[in-house]
Amino acid sequence: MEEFYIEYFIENKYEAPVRKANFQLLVIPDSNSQQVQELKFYCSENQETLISKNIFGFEIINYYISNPFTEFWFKLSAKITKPEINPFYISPLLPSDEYELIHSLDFQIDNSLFLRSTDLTKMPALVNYTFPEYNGEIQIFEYLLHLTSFLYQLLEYSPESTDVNTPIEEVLRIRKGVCQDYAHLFISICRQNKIPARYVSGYLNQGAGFTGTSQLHAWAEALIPDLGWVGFDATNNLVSDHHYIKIAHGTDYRDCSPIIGVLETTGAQKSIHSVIVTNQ
Amino acid sequence: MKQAEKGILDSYSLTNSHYDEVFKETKEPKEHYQSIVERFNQLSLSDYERINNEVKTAFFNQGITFAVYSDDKKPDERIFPFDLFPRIIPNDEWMQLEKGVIQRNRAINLFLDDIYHRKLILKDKVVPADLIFSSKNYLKEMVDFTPEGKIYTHISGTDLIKHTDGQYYILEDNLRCPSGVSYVLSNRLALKKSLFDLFDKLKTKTVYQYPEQLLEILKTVKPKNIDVPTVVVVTPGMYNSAYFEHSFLAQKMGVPLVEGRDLFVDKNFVYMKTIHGPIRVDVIYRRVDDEFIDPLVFRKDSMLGVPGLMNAYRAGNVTLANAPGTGVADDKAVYHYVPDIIKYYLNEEPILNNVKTYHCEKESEVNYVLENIDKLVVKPVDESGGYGITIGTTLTKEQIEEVKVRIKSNPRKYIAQPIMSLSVHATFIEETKEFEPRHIDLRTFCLMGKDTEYILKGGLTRVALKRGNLIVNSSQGGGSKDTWVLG
Repeated sequence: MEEFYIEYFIENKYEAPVRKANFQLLVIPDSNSQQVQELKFYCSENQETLISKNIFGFEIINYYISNPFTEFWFKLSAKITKPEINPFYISPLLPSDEYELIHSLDFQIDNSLFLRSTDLTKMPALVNYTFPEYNGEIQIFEYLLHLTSFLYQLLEYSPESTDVNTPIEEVLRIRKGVCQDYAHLFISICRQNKIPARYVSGYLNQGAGFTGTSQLHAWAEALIPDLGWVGFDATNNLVSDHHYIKIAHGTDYRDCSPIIGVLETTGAQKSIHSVIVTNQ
Repeated sequence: MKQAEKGILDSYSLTNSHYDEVFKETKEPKEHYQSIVERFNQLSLSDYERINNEVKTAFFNQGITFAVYSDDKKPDERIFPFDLFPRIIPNDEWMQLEKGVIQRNRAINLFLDDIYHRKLILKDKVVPADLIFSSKNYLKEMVDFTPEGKIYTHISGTDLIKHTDGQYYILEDNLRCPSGVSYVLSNRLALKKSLFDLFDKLKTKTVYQYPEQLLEILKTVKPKNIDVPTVVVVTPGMYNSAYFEHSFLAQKMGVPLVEGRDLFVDKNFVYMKTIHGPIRVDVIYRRVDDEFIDPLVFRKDSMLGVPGLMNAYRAGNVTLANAPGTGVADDKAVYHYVPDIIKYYLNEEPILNNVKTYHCEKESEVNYVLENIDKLVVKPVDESGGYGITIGTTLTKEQIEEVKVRIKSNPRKYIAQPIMSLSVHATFIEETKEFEPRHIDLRTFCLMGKDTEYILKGGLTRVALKRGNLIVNSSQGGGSKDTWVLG
């Protein structure tokens, strides 16, 4: 068993007082992917909290603040344990059987949400690259490894080159991006090849020397028949293992934003956040 | 009242190319129109105009106006043009129509439940899965969520026309909080004063229970553990073109009319701000579109919604009518499958006709289409807003050939339909001071709650006031008529 300590912190400062606000935070480690041993969180407003589930069943912390404020911070700390994972998979199925399965109508209907294109995973009509194509000659897992390293080589990791709303078209033009761009591109190519794929947000233990900055990390999961959902991190050219501490998955970034707020205010805001993961 | 020498309807001239609702080919009125034609013919033109003006005044006094916007002017408040001559539907004809509308809406409701849960109709290849999943109105927020009582379409407005063959055809389904019912009730109120004796004589069915029925239906889908639910109507605000209707319905139901900003969500419950403090809200008849109802989930720039509403809804703490995500079923492309949808879920033959649709992907149908392009409307299945539609009668020979090439190159992309013609109804035209035939359609209103259904006996008959115009919308110079269903 591996033990991890996580600290998540966000602070927003507002130029003008906020009269009313709703916040939703999606930052609690997913209890299906690991065991959450300790969990504490608080915010600046000393609010009672409500934990509810989002549409994919992940826990959201909700705040409704109706007294004026100019500063909002939130802090979460957690201790989780998970078994060591050796991320090497062999499907018991033949490549041709896998191919047939993922092309069956029932399979496609059951996984339709993760095969549909979204705004952030939409592939432009004209692309200057030939992406690896899945044709059923090799196993899906092997294909996805190939795709992961292809994207790792295609894009240059460059903090602040893009933001959370950057479409794939732009990412391909500048050939730079951050973790969510790698994830979106991976997902988009999977879906084009009829392999269900989803966006994953989470914490990454950086002690292991991965790229991910001190923010939340993003990677992708693809559905391989008979193996289930397997995580691929094109940013680091890796298959996800126990260092990947999942928070949530969804169709793209928008299902996994760590914080969404709707505020009544007039001015601008400044935001800082930090993530610390330690392994003991 | 002095007997007029010449009846005001005597100068009416028939068109031979369209189905006339009022007159037979001999120009005698049809049986169910006899009393009203007789009655109108007793009036002189000036009597008729006097009544007409009284009715108009009544509309202004009730405040029944809609706003027409133009760039440089203040909004122009107009009354929705109303024609005194009611459209009359005999009882047996109506009963058939009513059964058909209920059947259709029941099936559509089951369809929505299926495509958001087990998706059997897609797996059985009755409706193409791609068609549903590529629709932006198919909401992931509704997948595997079951609304109270399994009701999605609490309120639906089914539009029908009568074709030259004298048969009703469904034009479209409106499943996203359709408008128009306030006009039905106001039209009746205005007309009843002038023609009350005829109402009694013909045993015309009343329409006045609608608001009461709507409230009952909304109460049947109240969240669990609530005895007496608080119901509200949510409007986008007074600048919305249907604001009159929102306030009208709230007032007639005796429930608060609120805007999104009057509500808030705290710990997954919805509250309304009042001078006595917050009051919990249980059922929301929302006249705000899906994408605006919750900025935390849908459009972030929406000022019309309530942050957190979808979460409260999904927790079962509030009911939204209609359910979000119903728009996937009133899509043009899904329309063609509704007869199959009815057969699939109800194991019944559809009572009402869909407009015949030829699918060019089917080899048995594409040949007919290619040979009859001049008589057909050809539409791409995946475009909306009228883009790419060709109407056979308006095409040159060269254009017909072009359409053929397009269909042959991608038959899956095209469907074709016969050119439908709307029936005509005698309508008083102010410019000529005469009754002339004008095209009409009919919007029916159907309500569905837990184990209960209601259909308004009548509906909104819309009339295209411009000669030859097939567009019956109010913003396009359309008007309306009262619709009488006989006893």
